[in-house]
Amino acid sequence: MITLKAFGGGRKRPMNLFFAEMIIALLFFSISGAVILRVFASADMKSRESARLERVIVFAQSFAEAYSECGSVSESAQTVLGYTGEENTDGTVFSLEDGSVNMRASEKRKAAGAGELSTLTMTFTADGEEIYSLSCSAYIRGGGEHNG
Amino acid sequence: MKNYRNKTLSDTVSTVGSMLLFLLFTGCLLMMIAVAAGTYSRVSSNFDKTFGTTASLRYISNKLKSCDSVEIAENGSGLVMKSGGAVDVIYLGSGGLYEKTVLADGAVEFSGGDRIFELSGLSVADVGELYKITVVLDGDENSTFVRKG
Repeated sequence: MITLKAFGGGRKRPMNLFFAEMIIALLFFSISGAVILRVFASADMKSRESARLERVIVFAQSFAEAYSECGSVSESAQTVLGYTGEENTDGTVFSLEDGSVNMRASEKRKAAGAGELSTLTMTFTADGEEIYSLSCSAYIRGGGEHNG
Repeated sequence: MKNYRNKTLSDTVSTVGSMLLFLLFTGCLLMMIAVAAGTYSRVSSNFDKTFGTTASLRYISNKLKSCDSVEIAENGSGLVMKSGGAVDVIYLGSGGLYEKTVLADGAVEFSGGDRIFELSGLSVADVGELYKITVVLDGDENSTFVRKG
């Protein structure tokens, strides 16, 4: 009568198998729950990152529009951000999104025709990793009149 | 008829234990569903806020770039854009951004039209050689700059 005992047919501890089954089921669902919670947390983080990237792209486009019009990083920054940023050897650095994103704007000027062709590269980094980059140009005429 | 007199203490404990485990399991499941619903709601509202404002900014920017002439009206909450024989009117109405197209010789009124985006604020300002467009949705503000012409 081993079979009957195993399925709760024995007189002593008839619920043992059911109890063990419940523990195994609970363990399985606990592991599944932990995995699902990790997925939820990751989805939430991805959503925040995606929203931040979208805002960064809109900002980069605004900055590019301003730069194409005036051909100057400091002037563009003053228009778009309201301040001029910190200049260092790599270019000008700006802090965005409450300090979570840094933008480095580096300019290269090349003589072209009657003026200069200025190319601006904006690189956005978050936690040390590059998240977005955009380049734009402005043609700066010799007399100081700018045209994008 | 069942005889319950032969039930031992261990049977009772086992039954109660199993019941408690089941209760714990259902509790955990309910908690997980609540967390999932909260996360989904947060992701969804975040998505609506961000992409709703950026989509409207891009739409207005493209309209400004493609038209022949622009007139800022209604203290910055309305735009009258002329292109060819048509006038495109974009304005902030009740709870959203509205758009309508009228003939160039027709009367321009900031009423009617189609609701194109859900917005709570719109402001278009003339900043030198640029237009500054600011949109607000549920307290979340987003701005962009567009060159004139």
